[in-house]
Amino acid sequence: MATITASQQRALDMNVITRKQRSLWMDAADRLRRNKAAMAGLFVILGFALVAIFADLRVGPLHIQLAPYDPTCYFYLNGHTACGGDVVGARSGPPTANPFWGANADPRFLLGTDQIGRDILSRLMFSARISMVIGFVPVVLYFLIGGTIGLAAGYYGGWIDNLLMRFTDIVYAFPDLLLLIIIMATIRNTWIGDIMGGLFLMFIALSIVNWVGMARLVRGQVLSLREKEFVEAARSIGAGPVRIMTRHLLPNSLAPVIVSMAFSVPLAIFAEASLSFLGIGIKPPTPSWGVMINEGFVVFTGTPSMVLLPAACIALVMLAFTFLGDGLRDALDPRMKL
Amino acid sequence: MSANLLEVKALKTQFFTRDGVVHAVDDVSFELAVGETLGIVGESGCGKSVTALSLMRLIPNPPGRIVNGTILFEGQDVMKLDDDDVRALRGRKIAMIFQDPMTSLNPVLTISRQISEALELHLKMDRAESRKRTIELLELVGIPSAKKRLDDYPHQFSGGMRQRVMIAMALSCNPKLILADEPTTALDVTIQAQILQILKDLSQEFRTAFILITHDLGVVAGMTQRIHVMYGGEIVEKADTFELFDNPKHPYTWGLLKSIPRLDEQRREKLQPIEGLPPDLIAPPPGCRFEPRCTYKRDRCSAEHPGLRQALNAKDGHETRCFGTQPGAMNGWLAQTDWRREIGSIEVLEQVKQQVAELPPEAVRAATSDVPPPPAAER
Amino acid sequence: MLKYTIRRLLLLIPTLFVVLLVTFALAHAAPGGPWDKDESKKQTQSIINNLNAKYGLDKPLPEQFGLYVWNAMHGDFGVSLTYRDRLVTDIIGDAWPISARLGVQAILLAVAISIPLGVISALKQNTLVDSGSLLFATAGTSIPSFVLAIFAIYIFSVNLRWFPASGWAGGDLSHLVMPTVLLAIGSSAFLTRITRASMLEAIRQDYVRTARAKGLKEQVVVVTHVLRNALIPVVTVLGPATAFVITGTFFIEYIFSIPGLGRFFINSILARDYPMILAIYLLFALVISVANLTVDLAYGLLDPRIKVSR
Repeated sequence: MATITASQQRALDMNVITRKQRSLWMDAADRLRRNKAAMAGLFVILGFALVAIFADLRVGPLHIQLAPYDPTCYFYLNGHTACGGDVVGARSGPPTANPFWGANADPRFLLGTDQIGRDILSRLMFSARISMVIGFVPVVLYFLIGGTIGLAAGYYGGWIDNLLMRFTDIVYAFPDLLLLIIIMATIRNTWIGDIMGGLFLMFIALSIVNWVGMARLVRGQVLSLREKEFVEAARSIGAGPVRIMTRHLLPNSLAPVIVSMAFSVPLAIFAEASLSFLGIGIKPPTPSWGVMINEGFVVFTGTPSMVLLPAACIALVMLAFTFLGDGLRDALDPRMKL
Repeated sequence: MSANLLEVKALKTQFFTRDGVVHAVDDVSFELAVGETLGIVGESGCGKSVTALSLMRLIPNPPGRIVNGTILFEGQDVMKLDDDDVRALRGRKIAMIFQDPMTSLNPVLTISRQISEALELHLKMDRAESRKRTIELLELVGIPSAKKRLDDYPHQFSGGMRQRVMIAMALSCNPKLILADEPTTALDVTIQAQILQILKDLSQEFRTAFILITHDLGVVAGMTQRIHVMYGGEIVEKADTFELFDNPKHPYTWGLLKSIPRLDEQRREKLQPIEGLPPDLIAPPPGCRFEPRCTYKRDRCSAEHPGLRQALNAKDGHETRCFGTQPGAMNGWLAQTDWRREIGSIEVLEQVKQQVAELPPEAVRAATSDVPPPPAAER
Repeated sequence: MLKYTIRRLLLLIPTLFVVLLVTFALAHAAPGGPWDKDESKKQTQSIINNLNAKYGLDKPLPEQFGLYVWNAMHGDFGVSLTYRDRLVTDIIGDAWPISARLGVQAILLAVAISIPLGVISALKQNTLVDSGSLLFATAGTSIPSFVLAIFAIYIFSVNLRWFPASGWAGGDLSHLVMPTVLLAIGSSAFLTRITRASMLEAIRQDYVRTARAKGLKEQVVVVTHVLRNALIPVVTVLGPATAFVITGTFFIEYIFSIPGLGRFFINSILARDYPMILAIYLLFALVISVANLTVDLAYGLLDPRIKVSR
């Protein structure tokens, strides 16, 4: 007798609805604000986002630099510094400086340096940039590509729909990560793979793999909405297809789309970290947490902090995004599970 | 000791939600004799289903709890029984038929399994016996070729057939009391009548008392001996069925009578809903709970909460919770009001009563209009 | 049922063909060949030409593909380009039992953890047990397995020295524990979430109230009425869970230096060893498809509303 049945819930819901007739979005915001885990997640994300933005920001004369050093500069034991490109004599071996809690810590490098003398704190901060960018940019791409195609397929049906569904079948035959690995591994060594340190290719690869899910989601929403009375009403007063799609279908299918986007962000970060860890993601010397783990793994037993620090960052950011995503889902659509 | 099967006194059930305490059932008292039939009528959210669930102690906790009251069933207080004893009562002595036959049957168990569960539990039957009894029960409620349908799943039955299964399930252990919570609301009008007839016939046959819960006065008309009208968690009017239709004494009941859907739609009037929303049960109005929607109200109604009293110009035992129809120095301003003029034509009502009462039993049993659709792949 | 199974198995063929075609196209579309990674011994053009001729890489792509499919149908997947003296089938033959053992153990462990955990969590909703399992489920699904593996190695191998940090050693218990558990965490967290959610969904259904109204004991209500319904969605995600475990082996085998298929797959990709990539991928696709088919058949058995044979 511990729980309430669906019909009782409906009765209670009805009661609440009659009590306060407020907008769906206001209610959702309220529910989200009450969710402690989601709010904690939001603050962690904001923190990382601020670090990412101000790691090194130049706007006109303004120059804010949170990161102490250039993440690709090498600091030698003899006090020499070398920056940019291939550096002759950059050696591997034990780190030149341990983090502040370790032996022979160097006050200049709070979290120490890696085995070739680069400042870990600066690298972590610049890596946050990669993660934030990889989290948010592709999601916008999926939304634009998948949303448009899904809308068209759902609204018009016919060959667009057939084509979409066949393509979906093919993409769904591959597990996401497997397809990503193959795309990244094959195209990484071309000139496309060099744009923005491999970031551009990651955008493309993630979009190829993930727009389909968004398209299917939007298509399903549109299919269920397009026979509804309000669409019929809009059509009967002469609204064109574009107006119906953008004014009626899209806004009404927004809640699940937002939830799906919220979950896509950590998945993209996850993918970048995983691929970079395997050595087929972001190209060194551009720092990313995955790259740092990959590079530090060879000296893991000697200097665990080189691996543990970026690993902790990944874990923290992933958890934060998942809590926020869960909170958003619960807030926007309490009936949706998982 | 009384001869009553059931005596409910000052029942109070509340739900403790984030927005506050919902006073779902507030100080409800009534009694029921052996074999008697009672209708509880009111809009959705008025507390009638919660009353029924409270009787079986099926209120989900949290958030709900019966905070006060006694429920005497065959002389013993259901509120004081331990969990095992309550379970021995459920299904055995008190059975329930729920509103939506589509969702109230377990989709992954065969119907014979679902009916024989109670037989095996309460009557200690073995598999073979319970199967035999299940076939009898299904035939009793008019399911054609019951033997063949025994191992079918709920989705292979139509809505009406499923509700028959629910009735068979409720009757299975020969209970003393059946609580039927909106048993026909989810069904087509024609099938509604068949289901009600089965319920009526079988309860007469087995001398089972039942409480029929509905929002539709038209449904209880030909079914029960007495009717209690609920509003905002309270009983606002109690009367014999004929008396209630003949001489209703509460403005809310008038509103309900006015809103009975009429089948002979040559009328000029449209369906007449009661204006306004049911009261917020978290913070109910301090005076009469119907006062905000009442067109006959006076100052007193918003200031003072009326009790349930014998009505003026009415049969003995006809009680109302309206100052306007109660005796008293400042009361009774509605005692002389001609409610017939208020709600329109009385013939319409007579016709509603006829609808249920006059259905020939053969037509009900044959049930040819209720053949289930062929099982379809739901993929 | 049998008819359906056969039809589904036949449908596998075009699926696998498409998978193969796409993989083949992608693998060959990329610039650079398998011979240019050996920077140390700069191979002359003539050596490269010889190598290409030897492995048939000089032929037009459609022909290569046709030849590949033809040979594959006869069980010949060619010679690995990185381990040049070994047949692809030999390498896979050595590696697959390791990955299969790891994967099957992980899935069994995941199911054994997640279903009881999800059920208890749902029954004790909003208690400490529930919050604990929810935290596990959220952390396990969101944190990548290789990140968890790093922490696990740091704690259990480097500091506590309970388990070895790498190697397989013929699959002895101490080498098995950490990879199996870490491989299982992701899917068990995912399955816990699903189990909990579908339990909560099932428990508030009207038919559960009906069951209680019959006077059934709470345990009987939960086992016969709630669980049976709640497990249906759980079974449907076992297919994706299998795929999840397979991709998980790439990272776990890489981190723990386990000579399984996952590690060979990653190495082949890095080395552009086409025959290996194609053959391993084909095997993965086959395993995933068979897992999905099994799940669909089980789904049909569990849910009478689904008619599998149609």
